[in-house]
Amino acid sequence: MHTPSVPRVCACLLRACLMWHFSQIGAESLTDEAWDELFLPLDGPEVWRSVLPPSFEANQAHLWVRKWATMWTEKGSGLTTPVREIFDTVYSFCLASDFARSHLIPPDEASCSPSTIYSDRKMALSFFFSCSIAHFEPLLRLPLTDIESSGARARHGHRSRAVL
Amino acid sequence: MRDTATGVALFFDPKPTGYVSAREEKDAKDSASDGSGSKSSGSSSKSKAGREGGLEVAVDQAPTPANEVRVRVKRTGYADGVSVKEKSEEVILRRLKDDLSRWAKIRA
Repeated sequence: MHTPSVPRVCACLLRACLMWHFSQIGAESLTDEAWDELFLPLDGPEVWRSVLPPSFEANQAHLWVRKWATMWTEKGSGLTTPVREIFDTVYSFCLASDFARSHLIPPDEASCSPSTIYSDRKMALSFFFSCSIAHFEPLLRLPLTDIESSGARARHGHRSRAVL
Repeated sequence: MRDTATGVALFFDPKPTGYVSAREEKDAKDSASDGSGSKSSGSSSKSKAGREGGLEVAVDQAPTPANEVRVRVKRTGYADGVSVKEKSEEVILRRLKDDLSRWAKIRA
């Protein structure tokens, strides 16, 4: 008798939870932006966020963040693991692909186990979530940062768009 | 495709411990025999920033009618198998919360 692996069981449980969640919030009526917003915390993953008061402008906040970040490369920053490099980031955060035509999707969705598709766990998780919403949204969305993290070095400072 | 976020990414770079793995030792030997590498510590002294993880502080606008500006922090640049730098992340996040709220109060 075939025994399912732990990742496979986890993937099935996650999928069941997601499907239940989407059925509760009326996923069919969600717009593209709402979908992006729903999955945004998975990108990274996100560890913290704060909404600024309405009078604040994005470019002012960006300038402040850039200036604020420089303190961490100085000596005596108090970090267990020091920060060595700082990059400005300007990028679009997801890749888009026509889900139905993507050759990355196995014909049988049941065999769509994250670990068999990508070795990068974070990317696999994002990919799994994308697979799970296939019934609602014909777009495959993968965070660009996860693609980068699987390479030798993160590449920043440019805007990228790629179709799988 | 919608959001373009702007921000900064901070990449961690662990302090060199002096430990040289078998693979690094082999690489150093190979490069020394080729005459292309330096005779010193070799790859152990190279910066690993960009693969050892980091935090990205992104500034974007929420897709709400008010379009509020928001600051989001997410993990970035972790190669497979690299441990999360939780202590350092905590320090950075705590400082960001304090400094951001102070800045918001001053500007308001």
